[in-house]
Amino acid sequence: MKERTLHGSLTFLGFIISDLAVLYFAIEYMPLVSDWTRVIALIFLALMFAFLGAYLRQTVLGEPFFEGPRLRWLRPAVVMYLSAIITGIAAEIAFLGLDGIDRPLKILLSLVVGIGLIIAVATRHRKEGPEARPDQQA
Amino acid sequence: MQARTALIAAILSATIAVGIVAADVAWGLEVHIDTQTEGGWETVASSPQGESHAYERFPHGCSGPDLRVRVDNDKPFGDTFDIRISYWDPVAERTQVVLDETWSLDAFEGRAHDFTIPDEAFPERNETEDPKLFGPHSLTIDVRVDEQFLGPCVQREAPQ
Repeated sequence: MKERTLHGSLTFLGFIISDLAVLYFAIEYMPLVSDWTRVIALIFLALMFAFLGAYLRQTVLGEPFFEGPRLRWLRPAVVMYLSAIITGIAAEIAFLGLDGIDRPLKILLSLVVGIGLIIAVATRHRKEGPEARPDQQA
Repeated sequence: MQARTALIAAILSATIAVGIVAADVAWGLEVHIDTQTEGGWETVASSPQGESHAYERFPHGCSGPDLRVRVDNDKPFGDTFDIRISYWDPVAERTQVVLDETWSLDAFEGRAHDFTIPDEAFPERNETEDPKLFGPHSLTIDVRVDEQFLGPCVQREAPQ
C-alpha cells in the first residue's frame, strides 16, 4: 500500500491547528465580542470549511492520502468536512449559551435546524442518486 | 456545486465571518472614567484600551473623589447591558455599591453617571496598595460594564 505519510501528517496538523483556532475563538474570545457575533461568525466559518471541502473534492488537490481500497475515502475534502462539523458544534454550543433567548425556543430552533438538515440532505441524495463508493471510482 | 462556485462561497463566508468580528470589535461599548479637575473633566481610564495611560496622567495614577463613568455605544444599533459601580470601603470594611442597573443605549448614544466618594471612606493609610504608586489616602473602585472591567484608584484630593 502506497502511503503518503508526510502529506497525511501535515494535513492532520493543519486540521488540528485550524480547529484549535476555532475552539479558542469560541471559548476564549468571549469578552471582546458579543454572543451573537460569536455565533454568526462560527456559522460562517463552518460554511467556509464546508465550501473548501467541496472545492477540494472537485480538484486535483483533493486526491486521497492512501491508495488502498479501505482508506481511499480519507482525503483533504473529508478533513475539511470534519473541521466544518467541529466548527458547527462550537456554533451550536455558543447558540445554546445565549442569554437573550428563551430556552424552549433555543431547543426548538436547534431541533428544526438539525432535523431539517438531515431531511434536506436525504431528499437531495434521493434526487441525485447514490454515489459510487470510493473504491469503485475510477 | 462547481469548484469555482465553492471557492467563491468559501472566500465569501470567511470574509463575512472576519468582517462581523472586526465590526463588533471596532463598534463596541466604550467605558471611560473621568475625574473632576480644575480644568474640567479629564479621563483617567478607558476600556477596552486599558488603564495604562492613567499612570501617565497623574502623579499617583489616581483620580479624585469626584468621578464620572461614561459609557458610549459606538455600534450602529442599540445595546442593553448591566453596569455596576462599587468600591471597598476600608474604613467601614464593607463594599459600597454606587450603581447597579441595566442601561439601554440607542445607536451611537452615550450616558454618564456622576458620583462622589465621601471623605470618610478614604483610609488614613492605604494598607492594600503601594502608597508610593497610589498615594497614602486612596482606595480603588470597581466598574463593570457587561464583560468590561476598570479598577482605577481614587485619592482623597483631586489631581492638580
